[in-house]
Amino acid sequence: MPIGKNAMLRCLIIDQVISEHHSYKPTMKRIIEVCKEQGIDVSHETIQKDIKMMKKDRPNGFGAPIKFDFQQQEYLYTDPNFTINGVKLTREDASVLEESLVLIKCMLRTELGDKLRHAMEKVLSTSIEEVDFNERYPILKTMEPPRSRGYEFMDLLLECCKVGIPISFVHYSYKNEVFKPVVLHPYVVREFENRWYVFGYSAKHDAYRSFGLDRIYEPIKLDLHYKKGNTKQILSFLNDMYGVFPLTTEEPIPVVLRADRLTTKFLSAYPIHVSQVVEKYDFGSSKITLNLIPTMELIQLVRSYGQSLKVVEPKWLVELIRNTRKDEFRR
Amino acid sequence: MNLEDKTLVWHVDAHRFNLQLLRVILNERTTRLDFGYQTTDYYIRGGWINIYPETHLVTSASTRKMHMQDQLGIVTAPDKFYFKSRADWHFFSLFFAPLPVQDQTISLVEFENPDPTNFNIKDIELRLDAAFFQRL
Repeated sequence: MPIGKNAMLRCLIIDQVISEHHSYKPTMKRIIEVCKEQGIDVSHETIQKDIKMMKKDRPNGFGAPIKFDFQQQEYLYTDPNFTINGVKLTREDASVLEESLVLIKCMLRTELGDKLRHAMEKVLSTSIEEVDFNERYPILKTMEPPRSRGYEFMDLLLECCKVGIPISFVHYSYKNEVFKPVVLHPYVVREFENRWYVFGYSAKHDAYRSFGLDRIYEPIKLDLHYKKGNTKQILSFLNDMYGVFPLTTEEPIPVVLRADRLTTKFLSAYPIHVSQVVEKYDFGSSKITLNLIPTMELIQLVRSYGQSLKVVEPKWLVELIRNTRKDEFRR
Repeated sequence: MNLEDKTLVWHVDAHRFNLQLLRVILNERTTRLDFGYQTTDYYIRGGWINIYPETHLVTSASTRKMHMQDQLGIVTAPDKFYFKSRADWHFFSLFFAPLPVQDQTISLVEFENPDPTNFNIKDIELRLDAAFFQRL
């Protein structure tokens, strides 16, 4: 169980009192006094519980070697060098942090990401364990696409989603080849296949909409009442879709696909969606059932497999894919 | 209304052929107009655009011409910004002297006697009650 913020504060105080045993006698009275000095009203029993927790091994505690010296009536660390303030990172901890740093570098190339990276690097630098930063190549590598247009708005959009600030921007539609000014009450910034989108309530459309950051120009914050989002619909946007541009339905529906032998192997290894169920046939081909809101991206995915993957149900989606193909031939 | 520390934002939908005026942003220092331009099949590789330095705004609220102060994303004549295809698009902004803060109709004037290719857009209505305030 993670350690709460208040409990963590008390633990730091206990650690401080025990470590300063040369200046003050580390008694229960002294711990409670220091807590009070720092605005924490705490009972004898709570401190005892905290000490018990501190003694537990990580991750439930700090593995603190605390002992009560009955003769002196004081607390002490049996290892005089022990402290939880500046906890040593084990090799495993440092390795996990290093891996996380790689991910942060790749995924959050924003001011926020920089701050997080900086904080984590500080944690790593306080580790007494040696961390080899001079590796000649990374042992964990994610895809690092070149920075896309619109990424520079990330910090502004994240702030607006977090604080609840409507924005005005100009949007360019690749498909219709027109510009439109948009007022958006943004809720979520989302990545899908290395492309970034902001999702929110669009006043113009009177509906929830996604906008690709690459198609946004000059976003500015507006001093306007913020329309809060419906959590269910926001979660549905995040969880019930493959992609970000829904077709017609607002609720997840069963979508049945037919995959050939080779595609079945790939899709079994890399499911399209968490709802995916694969029913294999004797020769290795399969019926794949998804429960999601059909999207433009799902159509594109199916089409990218050519004859190897086909939509079987719902019929309207089969028809839509067929008609899109015809449209493209005309173009 | 006093615009000290305030910025008004209008979303507009005015256009002249393939030039769209999208937003007007007004504060005590400047009037900013945001435009979108979509190339067409008319010119090979989409042609080119520029803006004449004499471009100005006229407003029903004053007899004064609001001269262009600056531009962003577009060059002034005789320079030209060349497109590469008939499917290109371009976003740019023009900055003018600040408009009076009242209901008014404005016009963008690149040429007094324009031909169809000039960026002249007439009668853009700006009502104070239709404006948003920018959060600073």
